[in-house]
Amino acid sequence: MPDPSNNQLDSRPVVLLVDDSDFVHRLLKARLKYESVQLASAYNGLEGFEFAKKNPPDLILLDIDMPVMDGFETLRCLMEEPITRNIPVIVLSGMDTTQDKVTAFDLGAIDFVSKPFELTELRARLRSSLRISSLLKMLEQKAQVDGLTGLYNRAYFDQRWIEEYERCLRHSNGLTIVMMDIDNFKSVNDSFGHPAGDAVISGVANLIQSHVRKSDIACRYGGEEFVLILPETSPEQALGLCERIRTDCEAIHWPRHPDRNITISMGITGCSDGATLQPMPWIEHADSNLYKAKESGRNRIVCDQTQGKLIGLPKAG
Amino acid sequence: MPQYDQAQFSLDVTDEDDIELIEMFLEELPSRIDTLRSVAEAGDFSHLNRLAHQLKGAAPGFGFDPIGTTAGILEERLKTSNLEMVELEQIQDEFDALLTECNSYLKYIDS
Repeated sequence: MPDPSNNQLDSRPVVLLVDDSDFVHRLLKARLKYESVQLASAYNGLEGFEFAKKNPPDLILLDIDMPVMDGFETLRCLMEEPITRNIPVIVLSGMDTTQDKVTAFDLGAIDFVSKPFELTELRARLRSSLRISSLLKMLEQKAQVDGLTGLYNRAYFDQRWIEEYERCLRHSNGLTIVMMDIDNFKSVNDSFGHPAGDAVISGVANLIQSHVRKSDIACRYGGEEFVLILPETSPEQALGLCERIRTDCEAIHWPRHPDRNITISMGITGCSDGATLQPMPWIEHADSNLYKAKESGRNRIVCDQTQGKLIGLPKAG
Repeated sequence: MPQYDQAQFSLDVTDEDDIELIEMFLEELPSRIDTLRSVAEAGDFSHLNRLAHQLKGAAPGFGFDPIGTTAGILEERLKTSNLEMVELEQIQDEFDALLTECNSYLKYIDS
């Protein structure tokens, strides 16, 4: 099995072989040694499923006829689990009736190889499946990313926000959302042209991205609006982060308009131990905080808890 | 170092990697034969069925096509029988054919 601590060093795709026959493990280990893959092993369906949930591999080779949990059942479990759903599965089977093949494909297998396998064919199919899956991954990523800024897009935000909301509900964790809007953006476009406007949007996006942690989710919400999802973060913690973004933003030098600086206003709403608002009202609440920040003069942050308690910045000494 | 008769192997007996696989299989062959025998004698036909199924799938990959073929025939025979009711005599021919194939490779093992 690959050592998880070495994952950063070894970037070869991980192929998980799930088969109860030790023969097959030894055969493939010997036969795939010149392929650019790391081979991981599981000896029955349950073990394979558990392994895949913990360390999602890039591809699974799955035997059908196994004790404990057979391949079809394993495939069903893999396809129902969000973490493993998109891992391509090649079914290996000695029972190569048409019905078996149809069942395998209908359950979500990407390919089917009959046993005893022709190894050159298996290797070619393995490479082909890895190729397809890396394209799918790229496509999936492109569909989630905003073209101008490289941040996540609105569609991704909508889906991710619900996921994070539910996680917060389950574990009674902190969760904070930040709505941001570039102040007087329209006047940048009007005075300096749309290319300058685009430069501002992507410049602010870069600034945001450079401040957030790896676990935070920064998205472009629309036009000149951004939204941050900060999992396991209280509104107090979020306020510190956002204040740094706000002050750094007003200090940015813009070559296209050196005399016109850019500021942002933000509305923050969060909780530190479990949600007390529904996901949609939560967003509306943060949005109304953003509106308040705009109303009271822009380039500022309005922050509160989901219960409505306002939170201010500690006074600078 | 025994010389391998190419006619008996479906892998290339002049290729280093292929020989490695052939020897891997040969090394375990005597104990596999013992297991087949004892499982059959004990009348554990579902276990025998599994062993035959595994041999059918794996032996050709190691260069032992005839073992795979005879194992497949035994598996077919077992599949059409009721594993709870079957007697060794009913599958004797198929079982013997598999053992004969296995035994024919023992000469390649250094004694």
